[in-house]
Amino acid sequence: MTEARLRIPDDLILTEAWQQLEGVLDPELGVNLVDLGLVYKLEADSGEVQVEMTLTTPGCPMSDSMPEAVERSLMMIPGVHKVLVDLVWEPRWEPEMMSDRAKEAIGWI
Amino acid sequence: MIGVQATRSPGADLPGRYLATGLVAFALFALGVVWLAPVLVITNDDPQVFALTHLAVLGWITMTMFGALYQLFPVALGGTVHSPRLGRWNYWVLSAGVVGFIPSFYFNWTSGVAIFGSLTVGAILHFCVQMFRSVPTIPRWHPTVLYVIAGLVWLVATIAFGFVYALNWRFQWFDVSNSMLAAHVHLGLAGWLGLTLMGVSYKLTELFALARGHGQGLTLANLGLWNVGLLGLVVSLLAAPGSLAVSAFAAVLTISAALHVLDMGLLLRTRRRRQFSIEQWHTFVSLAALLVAASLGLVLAAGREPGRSWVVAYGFAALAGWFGFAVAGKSYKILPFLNWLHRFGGVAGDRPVPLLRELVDERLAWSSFALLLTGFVGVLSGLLVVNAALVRGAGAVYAGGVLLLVANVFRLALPLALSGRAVADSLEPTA
Repeated sequence: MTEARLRIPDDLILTEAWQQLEGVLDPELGVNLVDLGLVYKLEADSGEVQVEMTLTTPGCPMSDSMPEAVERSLMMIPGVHKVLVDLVWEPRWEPEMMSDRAKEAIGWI
Repeated sequence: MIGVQATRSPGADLPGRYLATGLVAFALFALGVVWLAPVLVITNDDPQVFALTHLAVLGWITMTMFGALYQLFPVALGGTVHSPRLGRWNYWVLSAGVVGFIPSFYFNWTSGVAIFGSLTVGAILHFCVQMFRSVPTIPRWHPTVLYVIAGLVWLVATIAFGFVYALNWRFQWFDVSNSMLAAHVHLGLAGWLGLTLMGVSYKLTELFALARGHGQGLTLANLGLWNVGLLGLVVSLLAAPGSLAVSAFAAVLTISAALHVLDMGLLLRTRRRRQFSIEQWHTFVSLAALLVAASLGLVLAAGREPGRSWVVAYGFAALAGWFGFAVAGKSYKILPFLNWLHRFGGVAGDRPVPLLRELVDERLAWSSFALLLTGFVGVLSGLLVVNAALVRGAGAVYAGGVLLLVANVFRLALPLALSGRAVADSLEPTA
């Protein structure tokens, strides 16, 4: 049996993926993962999306739920049939990786 | 050993049960301060005061810390709780012990103190074994781990003393002097509760305030200083009560307390989240109360007691002030987090979910804080000037603050306590 899959160009999927991840908020900080600088790499290949991401600290209490939230969010994109989330700790996340918008949101600047 | 594990987290119900029970005990403790005000200004050496103290120490703070540690090990330290299933049994045994132990004290039922005290001691020892067996699974060590281990070691010592005293209450083998009681009290307060709270505070401040770049030198050196001070204090209380050594080691602990406050200040200076949260304002009061308690301790260690209820004032400053404000503040972080994970962790990314701060009523939290602070200062003042009416009136204000806090966060704790077991239960580690 062949599975009918919507074929959407990878660059469109990537654009949509970044937008989707801007909708996933860190529930403690109230800032999205992209602005926090937690998403290190995002690649799409024939409907398969690979994410390399980190969290604010290796002891982050969200280490189970955030990667799952990312996966669920990206699976909602038309044409995406598989999402692989790789949670990495190198390079270590530093607050300086946040966007100015995020720094402003947490009151740093 | 071969082990299998679906997830590091023991499931929301395990910490939830301890935390919910701790909140109930917190409310009872606050009401107990109002009820026992006339006794509190007379003496600390009274079964009803012992009952109130153990309600705070075992029912409220220790229960809360056990719940927090069950969550801290997996999510903040990256370790694996040895056996969540045994942890659930432990909760029931500990609860039964504490529920029987406190009324036994209150009504001076010596057999009950011995029976339920033994049950409590067994449950606490079992918890310590759980934690000690969980420690080797922690992948990255942090000063918090060392503080918690030290706290657990002192907890074993505390309950060893408590066990002997509880049995002695029944069988009257020997006379328990004030110094011997003081040794037990300080093992529990400064050893178990103090070190565990300090360790947990370092980690949670780092996590929630996004503090970075704080050196660990002072944190670790002060851990050593605190332990030296405590060991010296306990030994001198037992071997040479009333001697200069008691004052000297009390001074070491006071200096160490001040260094801890300084260290927390330095840690907070490295924070990236500039605005102080409600939790941090509780922490500031907690640290101020630590300094007050340490100063009172220094006076008492020198053998001076300007007012007959200064010992109770000292205990109240430590329990309701240092620990109370810290535990109350952290409940605004820990409970929303656990509740969020339980209710929304499985749907985040799929649909809009609330932020953690949206799970608590902020206005209620600030109202509670104002009442707690006013009530705390009032009760402490009433104890220092030996005024029962002031203790009772301010105690009512304090109880109002506690009830507001409980109303705010108990609805977050209860669903956790009543939730089903985690998948991990069926995948217990196998020896």
